[in-house]
Amino acid sequence: MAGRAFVVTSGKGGVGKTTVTANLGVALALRSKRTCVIDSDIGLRNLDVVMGLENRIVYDLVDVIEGTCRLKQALIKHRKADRLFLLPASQTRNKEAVSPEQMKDLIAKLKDEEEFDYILVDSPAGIERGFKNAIAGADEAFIVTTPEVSAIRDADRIIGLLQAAEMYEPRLIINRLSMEMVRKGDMMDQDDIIDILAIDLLGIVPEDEEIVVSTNMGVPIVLAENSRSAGAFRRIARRIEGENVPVWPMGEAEEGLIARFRRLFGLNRKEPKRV
Amino acid sequence: MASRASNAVEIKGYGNDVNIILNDEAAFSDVEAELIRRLEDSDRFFSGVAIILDVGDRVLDGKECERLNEILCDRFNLTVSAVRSRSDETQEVVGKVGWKIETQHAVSVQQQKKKKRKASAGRRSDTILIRRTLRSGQREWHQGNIVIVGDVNPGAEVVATGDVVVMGTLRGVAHAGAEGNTSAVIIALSLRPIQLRIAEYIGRSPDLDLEVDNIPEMASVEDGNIIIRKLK
Repeated sequence: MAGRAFVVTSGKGGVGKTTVTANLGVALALRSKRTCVIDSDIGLRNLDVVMGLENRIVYDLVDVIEGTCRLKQALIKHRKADRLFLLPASQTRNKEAVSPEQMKDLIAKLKDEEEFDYILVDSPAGIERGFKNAIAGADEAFIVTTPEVSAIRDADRIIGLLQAAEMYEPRLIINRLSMEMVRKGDMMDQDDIIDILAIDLLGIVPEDEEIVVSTNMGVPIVLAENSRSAGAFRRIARRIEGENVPVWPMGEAEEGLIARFRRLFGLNRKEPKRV
Repeated sequence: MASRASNAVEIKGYGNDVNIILNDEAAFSDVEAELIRRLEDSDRFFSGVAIILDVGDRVLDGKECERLNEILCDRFNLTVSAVRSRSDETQEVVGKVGWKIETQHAVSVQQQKKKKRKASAGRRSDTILIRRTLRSGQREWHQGNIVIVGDVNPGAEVVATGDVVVMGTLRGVAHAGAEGNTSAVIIALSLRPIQLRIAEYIGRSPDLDLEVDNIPEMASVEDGNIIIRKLK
């Protein structure tokens, strides 16, 4: 079966693209899938740090594209998840060093020659060259957003741009959702978000302080058995594989569909705050 | 009564020109009152602007002409760059005040009215229908009316010289009557905009009386403000 390439993007910076990419990469690899994560944020690379692989970088994405090295030489295998490979970005170059065409070719190579089952491209923030490079070779897009207005504004812009690039069905990951704040009425819930963004929900990752710790240690949280967000990432990995598991462990699967039906029949309850 | 008065004067913008059109069937006193009211509401917007005064078939006498000069030039600081008139008498009188005439061919009143009706009907029915949700950063502009079947998300803009109708939730910015038509309206199934604009009027959400239910509503200009009413 041919490999699938996903781009993890958001528009807004700091909503969790890199964290999501690292953890989904590990989760898929732990399910015995040959997985490659690519950091396309040239000049501001972070994926290597979050995965604890920064001191093992010899060659990077730009080296591969410029032909300085072979693809295999740049791929770094993760110690704990041995089916997971990282293709790091360059830190000393910038996004002009790579073109969308070159990214397309690279991903084709990863699918054909290296036979990866899954390729996850960590996109930089923004809508310029870095974003265009990141989406170039992708089959599908995952949009990461947090439950707050500016992130959603940017996510909506990105969805519009993706649709213009003929990627019509991006899926949504809501990151850093705090049920406590939602209950208090201080935070938007998934229905509010999907009401505006109107795309299918892939998963929800709850707010989790442990992520800060794990990032600093360079150990993706999915490797820690008991954390709340780890469970969420594992669930998302299963949904990527096609399993119909609930998005949120309260037994409500297909949240997106329910929200859409409610809207269709005008059953949306009054909003407590403006979005 | 009220509706007649509100048509006594029309202010239309065409590109860089502002036309002040006096309804040639309205009584002069109505025209006077409406003119003062409209210019007061628009206040600084028209100060220093050169306008074309369109009086159509109206016959003005010397006193009425003086009065118009008083209102337009002295009080509101406009410059009358030309007067459009189909009446010979008016043209003479206007010349005496020092205004330039922009002559129209002597077409019969009937024919003129027919032409007007046809032209405005064409304008009214020049409507485009867009069947998708406008996302943040997208903008649709049209000479005529726009109907959106979908939502208009925050960060998106709809601009029309005519009306704007959103068959969905309007959360972005809508501008109707973009070339100066203050009778244009904005309608949405759910009106929750960041900003509404009709002609030169702007309404922001804290100032607009927005209900949060999903009830179809219409925004229009009344007395110099944007008013929102339920769509009946």
